[in-house]
Amino acid sequence: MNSLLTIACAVCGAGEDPAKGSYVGMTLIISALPLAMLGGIIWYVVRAAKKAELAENAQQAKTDGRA
Amino acid sequence: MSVQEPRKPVLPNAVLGTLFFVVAEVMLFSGMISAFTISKAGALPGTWPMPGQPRLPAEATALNTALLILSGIVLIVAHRLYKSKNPVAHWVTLASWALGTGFVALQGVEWWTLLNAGMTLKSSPLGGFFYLIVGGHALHAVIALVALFMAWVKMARGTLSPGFFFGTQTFWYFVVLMWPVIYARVYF
Amino acid sequence: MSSTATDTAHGDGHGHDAHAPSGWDDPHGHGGHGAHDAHGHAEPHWLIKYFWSTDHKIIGMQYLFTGMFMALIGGFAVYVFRMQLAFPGMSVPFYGRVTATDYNALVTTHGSVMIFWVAMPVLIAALGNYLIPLMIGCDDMVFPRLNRLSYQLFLISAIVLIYSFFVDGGAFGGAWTAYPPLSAKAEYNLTPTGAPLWLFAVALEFAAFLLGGINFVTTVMNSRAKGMKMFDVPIVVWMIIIASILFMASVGPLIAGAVMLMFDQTIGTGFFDPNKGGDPVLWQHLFWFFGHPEVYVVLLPAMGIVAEVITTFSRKKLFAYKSVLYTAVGTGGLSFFVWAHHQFIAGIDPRMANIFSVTTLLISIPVAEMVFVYIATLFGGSIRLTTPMLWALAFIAEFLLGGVTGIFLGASGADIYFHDTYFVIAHFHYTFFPIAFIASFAALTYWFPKMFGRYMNDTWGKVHFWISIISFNCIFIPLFLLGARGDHRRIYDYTHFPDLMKSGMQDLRILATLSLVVLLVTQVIFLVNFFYSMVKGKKAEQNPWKANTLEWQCPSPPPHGNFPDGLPTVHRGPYEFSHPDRQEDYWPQNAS
Ligand code: HEM
Ligand SMILES: [Cu+2]
Repeated sequence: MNSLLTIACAVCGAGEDPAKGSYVGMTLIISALPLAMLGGIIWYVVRAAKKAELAENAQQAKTDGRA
Repeated sequence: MSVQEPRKPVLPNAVLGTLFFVVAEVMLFSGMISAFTISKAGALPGTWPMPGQPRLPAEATALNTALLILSGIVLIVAHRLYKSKNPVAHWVTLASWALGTGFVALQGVEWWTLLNAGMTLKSSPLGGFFYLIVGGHALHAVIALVALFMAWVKMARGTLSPGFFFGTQTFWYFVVLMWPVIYARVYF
Repeated sequence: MSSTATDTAHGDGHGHDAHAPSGWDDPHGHGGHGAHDAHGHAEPHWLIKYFWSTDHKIIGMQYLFTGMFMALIGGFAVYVFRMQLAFPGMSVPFYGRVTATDYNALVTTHGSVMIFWVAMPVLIAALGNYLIPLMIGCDDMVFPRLNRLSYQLFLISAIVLIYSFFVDGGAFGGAWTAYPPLSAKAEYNLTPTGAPLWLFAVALEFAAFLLGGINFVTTVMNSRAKGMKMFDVPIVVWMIIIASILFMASVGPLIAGAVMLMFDQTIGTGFFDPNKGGDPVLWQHLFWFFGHPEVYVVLLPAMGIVAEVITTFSRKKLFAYKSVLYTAVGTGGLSFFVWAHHQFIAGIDPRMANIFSVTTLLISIPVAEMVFVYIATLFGGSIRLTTPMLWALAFIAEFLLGGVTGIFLGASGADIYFHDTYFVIAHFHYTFFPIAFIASFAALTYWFPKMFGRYMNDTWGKVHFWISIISFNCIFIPLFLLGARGDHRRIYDYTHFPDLMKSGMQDLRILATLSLVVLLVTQVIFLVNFFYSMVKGKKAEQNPWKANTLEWQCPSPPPHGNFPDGLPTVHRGPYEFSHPDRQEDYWPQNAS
């Protein structure tokens, strides 16, 4: 931004704002980050749950076979 | 009185609790880093760093960074050894702790030089953000190192609980992985 | 105390899985109930016992009573500053003359107390602590000591806040949103000590809820009763969990901002000071990045309470349980993408504003859907208009008004005119009042028999309901009208602004203030009814409303350990009302 010019109108000034790129970028990152992390946790939990279920079923099959 | 069959938790409590805690911590740092990035991009030309203020020693800090990452890797090895009940596991844990402590010590030296060169919290926005973000990270590192030291003592005595070790490790990995992001954004 | 069903359950499997890995939370290495085992030896003073209890029900009650006490402070503050607006310069009864600095401090105190020290502790912490273990059929939280620490931090935060009223310069006067430069510089806000103390109290309070939230989520994941699958969990529990997760994921940037602001206030850094190269709008982003998810953090538990109450009193299954759940998750996700609707005219790029307009309008869709689902649940039910049911129905009606006016504000063009007027005030009170008070009253009247083993008086409950609802609307409809006529929200004495004293405007302010006084006085009815019924009310049985969820299948009030006959096993979902194969019109989750 030209420091000598005072820009009263946000619309006119916004076009040249050098901070705009990083502003948009940071907005995207900071909004998506929590969802990505929580999505990761959910994915991890679901995977662990499926594994546990498979193991349990295998166990079940074994005991059933014996009985 | 009925005898209850246990519900097998999908993930142990300590694991889940730590995971959510780390999510909150990552958001704390991403808040600071995004504020830094926007402030830096919006700074008037020639004011970042302020004239007459020192530049951040990006090259010298590469050594710290290497130490910290190495410490994280060593801790992974320690975890493997601990799992296989290898008796040297606790020495490896101590090595990881020593590397981490080296990181913090070098950071201290760096802060000392910068402070002497006139860069303080108040001297410029860069100074403020530097001490805020790097200081916040250092605070976490110190807490994690205390926990890691306790884990070493407990492991050597054979009284370490898996939950404690897991929590400490997760926290330390968080400290280690957060650093390269901070380094890349703040120092350059 | 040591060989109840609870402790046995801890001794074998359940206890081990639940507590053994928490060693790092518990330095002495034994399970979470260590504090209780100690009782056998020397009985400590009951006060110590009360404050060091790790029982989730006691911690829930502690949160509840602290929240109720704080509500009195918030209510007194609003009384004083509304009197000043209606009758400028008068000596307010019980307070005296209100100076401009007092006015700022009172507005700030009202806003921050009601949101951070009333809505959050009552809706999430009190009800979450009390209900979650009971509703998922377990004996306590998985991290009982963390839970106790959470309440203690919260109590300290409340004490710090109250202390800040009495320091030099008085309570913080920079508004609950604490926008710099007003909040950053003592020359502007005139509260040199109050400001950092306020920030410190808020930060402590967040730490408390962070701990509490981690505890809730872990408990629900790992300690559900046997047989309770994902879709057998009552909606209110789901909602509290989703809200806790939203809170944890959004609070970080605000804590970062709070530290920066605290440095600006105390050390003199320039993070938000344009003279020193900082950017004041940055704070607004950090604040609202948390602030908007926060409104859903309080909304979702309220929605959950309403779901429990309307299903029980219309004897119908919740219409589309899964949709409600997915909608709540979707709302939570979207809520991270709307915050800049608070900065539409703070100088952000108008193209950005358009994007945030769209997301803001989008988020009203899931919220509306939830309301429709609740109405569909009511449709064709055998509705019983008990006091809790009245509150729940009122929630739906009043919240709808709040949500609809949010759409006007979300359209960035319209917001240029509405921003910072009383229209915004009315909008968020039509959302927050239903959430923090109407839903809390629904919850308290509904679960009162469980909490204390007695009924509240229904007639007085209804009197309280009707006067509260009517006076509430008489406060805020005038404020909508005032806002639409351009009434700015941060003015201490309107007589200096002839444009805002045009025909009838002052009358509307007086009407709002008088209605507020009625509303506040009416709460005495509730308080008397509440405390009188606690000791003298009609005795209630275990399941007075004939509801299905697990908390109704244990004694009222539940003993330590909750389920004296052993932890329940769940066979079905929580809303099996009026099942055709059953004689009774309800079917408890654990009945075979
Ligand atoms: C969940 C219930 C809601 C709550 C608790 C809530 C709360 C609030 C609060 C506290 C404020 C402004 C506070 C301030 O400036 O001091 C606000 C403003 C606003 N709300 Fe809501 N809101 C809710 C729902 C909605 C919905 C559904 C929408 C849109 C669809 C919406 C759109 C807005 C907008 C655009 C503003 C900014 C107005 C301005 O400052 O000019 N809100 N709301
Ligand atoms: Cu909002």
